Amino acid sequence: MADQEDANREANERSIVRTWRAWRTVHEMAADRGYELTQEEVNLPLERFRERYISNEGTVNRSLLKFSARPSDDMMRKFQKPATPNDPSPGSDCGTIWIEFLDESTLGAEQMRKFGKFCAEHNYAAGVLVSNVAVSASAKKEIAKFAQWTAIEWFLEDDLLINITHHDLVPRHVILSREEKAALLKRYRLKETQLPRILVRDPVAKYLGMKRGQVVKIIRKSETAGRYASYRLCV
Amino acid sequence: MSSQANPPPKGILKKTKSTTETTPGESDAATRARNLAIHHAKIIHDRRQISDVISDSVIALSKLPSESAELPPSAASPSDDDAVAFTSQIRLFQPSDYEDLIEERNCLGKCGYVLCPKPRTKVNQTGEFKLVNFGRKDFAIVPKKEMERWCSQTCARRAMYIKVQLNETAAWERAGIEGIQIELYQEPGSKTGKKANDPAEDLAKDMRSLKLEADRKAASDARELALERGDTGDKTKMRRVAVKVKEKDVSEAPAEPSLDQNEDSHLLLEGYKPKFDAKAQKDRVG
Repeated sequence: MADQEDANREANERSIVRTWRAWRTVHEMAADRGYELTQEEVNLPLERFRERYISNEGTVNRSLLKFSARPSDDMMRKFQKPATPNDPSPGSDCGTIWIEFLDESTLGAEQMRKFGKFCAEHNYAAGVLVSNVAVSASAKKEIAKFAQWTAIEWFLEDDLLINITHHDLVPRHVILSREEKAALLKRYRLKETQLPRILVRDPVAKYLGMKRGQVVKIIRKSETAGRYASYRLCV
Repeated sequence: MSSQANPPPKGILKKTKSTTETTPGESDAATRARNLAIHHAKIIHDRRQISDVISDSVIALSKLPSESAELPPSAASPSDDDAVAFTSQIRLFQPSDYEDLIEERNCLGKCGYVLCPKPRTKVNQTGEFKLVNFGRKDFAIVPKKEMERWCSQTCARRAMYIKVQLNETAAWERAGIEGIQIELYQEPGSKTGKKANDPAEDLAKDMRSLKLEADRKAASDARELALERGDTGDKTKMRRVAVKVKEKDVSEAPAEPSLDQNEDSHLLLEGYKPKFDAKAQKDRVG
């Protein structure tokens, strides 16, 4: 009996630590994308996480694990839509992001539809759903249906246990704005298609929430040149 | 000064039609292009709608069978409402949609067969494959994933019986055809199973399906022919060609064809007979 209790507590403990790490990575991800988050929010220690989000039974209360973040002014400016004669001061491509940990043990089309509807109704420009179970094929189809209103992204909790961009072998990725992209193509006299490519489902592209057609600048260390920049088009 | 008084010199070029005359043609082309665009947009819209219907039914069917208090449903004898809902909604599915539905049900922890209320099996072992019926004749090595989709072998059979009836053709092409009906698996030993053994009934069913097949074939042939002729699918806008049978008037009795009087007529080239003698030429060379 006591053994089983111990085992239970151990399993709970493990799941708490995992969820905390994913929670922290998600915050770092939002901050890296340029959303406004305080340093305190990003570097939440495990003790504080326990105080806030642990229920009485000693498990993580996932229904509390949700937050929204506003884009910073820099980010707004970077992803400004191009001005047209009709619309001299257009808005920005990015908007408020909603991040939520899935509270249920299954992630089917219905849950995805509910999440998409919630994000669309509350005018969130992007929605991130973190789950600890894999998603079904029909749920993935639902994501595409909401593309017009809100960009839904989905992450597996296991993939967020560590922040991949902090790894030694992952170089710095910077998304270029529209003007920067145009300047790059003009400078090298390239067409879009002549750039090297990066997949949308590439882990770093997913981390940065890249969209098709954006260009990312990858800054690598180089023994001979100090730094070496290359550019990739997201496809 | 006198040149000013002269009428302007006449152009030697042909008079072009005035612009006012060309606009009706242009606007006609514009409206035609617009109508064509609208026509295609409507087609795309319909297709989207049907795919929406399909994803709605995936969600609805993944929740079946519905709970009923007095009679717990089983896969072998589902409640009538569930069976009707299932067969009517599955009609539009492609096999791939059906696979999605099974995956969706498995995601919710249910058996892949829509009318089965049991949870799916969980194989308690690590590893990709599982040995089935070890030491017996029907021994098999099965991927673990495949096993975990169903609650039992019978449910797998029932579900596959549905799948083979589904059609690969796109849903919007089948939406209008009422003849496509999906049947549930005939449970061995059930009432419906006995009825199926009746030869007259069997024959009637076969005849019906045969007739249906023929109808469908004729319809698809007609569609292809229409496409070849450049007709659109829209019946109201089908081009109509006035066909008139015109008899050729006959003035004299037909005569037998005859050869010409001139025996060299086959040597004439446009009425001229060449003087070149091939035989003499050949002799000279030889």
